[in-house]
Amino acid sequence: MQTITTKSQVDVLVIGSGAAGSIFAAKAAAAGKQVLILEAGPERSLEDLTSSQIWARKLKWAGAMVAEQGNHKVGNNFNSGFGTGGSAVHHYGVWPRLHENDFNTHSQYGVGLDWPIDYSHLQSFYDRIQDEVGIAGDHSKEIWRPKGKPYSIPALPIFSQGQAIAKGFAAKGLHTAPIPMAVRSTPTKDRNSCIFDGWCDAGCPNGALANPLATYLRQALHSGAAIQHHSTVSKILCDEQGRQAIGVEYFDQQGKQHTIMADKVVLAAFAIQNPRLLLMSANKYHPQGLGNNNDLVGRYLMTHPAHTIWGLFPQPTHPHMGLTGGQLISQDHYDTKLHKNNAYGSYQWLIANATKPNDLLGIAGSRPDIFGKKLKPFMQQASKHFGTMVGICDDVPQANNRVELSRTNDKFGLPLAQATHNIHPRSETLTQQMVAEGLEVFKAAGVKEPWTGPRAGMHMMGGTIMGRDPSNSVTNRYGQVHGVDNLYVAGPGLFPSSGAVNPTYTVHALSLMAAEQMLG
Amino acid sequence: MKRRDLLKQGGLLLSFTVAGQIILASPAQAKAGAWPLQTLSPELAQTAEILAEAIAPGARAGGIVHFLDQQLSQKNDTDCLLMIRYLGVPQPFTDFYSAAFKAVNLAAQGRYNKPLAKLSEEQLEELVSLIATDAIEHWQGPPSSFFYFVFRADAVDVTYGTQAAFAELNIPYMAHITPDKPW
Repeated sequence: MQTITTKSQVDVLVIGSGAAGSIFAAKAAAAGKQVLILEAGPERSLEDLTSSQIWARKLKWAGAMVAEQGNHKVGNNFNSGFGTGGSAVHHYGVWPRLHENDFNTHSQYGVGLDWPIDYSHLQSFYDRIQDEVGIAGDHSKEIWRPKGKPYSIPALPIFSQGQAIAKGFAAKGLHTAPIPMAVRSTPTKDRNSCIFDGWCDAGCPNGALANPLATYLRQALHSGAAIQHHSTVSKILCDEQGRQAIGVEYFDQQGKQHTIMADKVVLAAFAIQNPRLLLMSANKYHPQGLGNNNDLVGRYLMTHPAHTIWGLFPQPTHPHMGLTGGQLISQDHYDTKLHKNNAYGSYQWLIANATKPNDLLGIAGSRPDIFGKKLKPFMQQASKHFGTMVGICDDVPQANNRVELSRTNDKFGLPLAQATHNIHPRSETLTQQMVAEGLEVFKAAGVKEPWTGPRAGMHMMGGTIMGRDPSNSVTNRYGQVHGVDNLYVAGPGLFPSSGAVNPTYTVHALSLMAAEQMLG
Repeated sequence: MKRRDLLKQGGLLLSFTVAGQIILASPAQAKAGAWPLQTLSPELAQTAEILAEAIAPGARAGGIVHFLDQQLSQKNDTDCLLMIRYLGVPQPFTDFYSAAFKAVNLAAQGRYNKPLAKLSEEQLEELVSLIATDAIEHWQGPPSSFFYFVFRADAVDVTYGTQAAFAELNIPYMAHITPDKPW
């Protein structure tokens, strides 16, 4: 591994080693650029991904505290990762595409914000990522699927839990298809195929799941990129005119400050830390922070409102096996965002998630009201007959949902991020309709008394939205910060609207598009 | 004891400090050996054990007190394995648990006029139910239903989250990488 000393110069400096940063690093290193990745968290390899819901917590955010408020918090500490590979190390590999109607919600429905691109711009990048990574799926069964090349590897198998729940969907006239998974159903020379042990939440050490350690970060390092851990960036430096980023300041693990210079800077530290860093990088030309002339940095923070449906099936379901992300997907209603009672948005079901006994998403966690003598009989029955699915809704982007700098500082003396998120009433109404449908599906599948839990925030998006016009966005379509065009923002923070699908595939496609533009 | 034997016993191996030496063991092993605690006071440890056993029977033998104590004694924020780390509670987590355990003791005394350890099984069940539903009058700790949710998860971890617990539920563990060492 290359060692970069203080005040050295690189071609491309990437802040964050997650999904977005890894693509930039891989493509730049392959193009012969000298690349350095600064990662705030610890070093981690595939061999460190211990199969345990307890040990899995090591992968979650452990950086500077994020103070959260609002009636629908984004759940930074659960949704963010920390260490090599970032949040994508614990992501579940669920890779559906956004739909055409996700890109123009303001024009089409008068709600939210339009993207500066439409689906046709992104389609070829989705296809190329699919070819490079390998996505298992069955396009013929996804009647809702946007245009695109058929999946490059066969769909993963459907186990007893998925089969049981699928009957409920069929009985209600709804459709299911294998989830498009960035998980190998066939091996490659570098990656094994999935063994369906249901430990995806703890990270996949055999390389089947496309986390950065198995895909683009590995490629980047093979191509000569360097990564430096425990390196917390505190400021992006600009030239004397304030028009170009020239490097960054960062703290090492001992609290010592360093400076490193770069021709291009890629800010890929996820939806909370990206705006935090832009705001902390204020200078005399950008007194409110980089890209923040119009008070937009940090705004339109989003998280998918999500609800889980649970039930005990009469037949054995083997809930411990399969994939954490689920086995089947249903997007029957996705292309309609206007619903009864003024509900707004698309939604999807991810069906038959592998579930272990403990942790937040575990079997015991589904019934927190059960304790004492009743707990063991429940656990014994549920560990054989449990079924689950999660519904994910659009989150209407709102300017007041935002990341700001707190008055409280972290251990380096830097202001903490403060994240505010409230759910829009039209999104909330949609979640209620979605839950009612989910409970009916489970009843139709043979569950006598299905139940649900509280609404949760799944994924994080927005905060550094892209757009056509500097007056209403932080970056252009490639993530170039308005006014500082060699500074790129990467990741789901660029999304002007959330859609209702898992964001990681779109993050890959956007990052590939931007990286190629950056490299000319 | 060999590591393989320990795995058979518990499956969740953590490092404990005993007589100045760091020893690899499961929380259940630490409990069985009555190894010294680093962070929790004897009074709060007793509260934790009684409450955890009332919430998830088996948590006592699973070593809930040593599990909690070991995690709260981590010097590095990134090393904590408790679920509380992703529930938005600021570090140090010891403050959260200490305040809650003290509130539990006060609630027991206030409602039943006797210490937690002297409550009958029925009283303990009622107390847990009241804590879980924010129904304790004059509760003086962090929101009680939230504390219940957090601490129930800890009790469930040692009771149902280990390889031994999986075996008891007759669930194949199927580890890629066995949790055989501190991170």
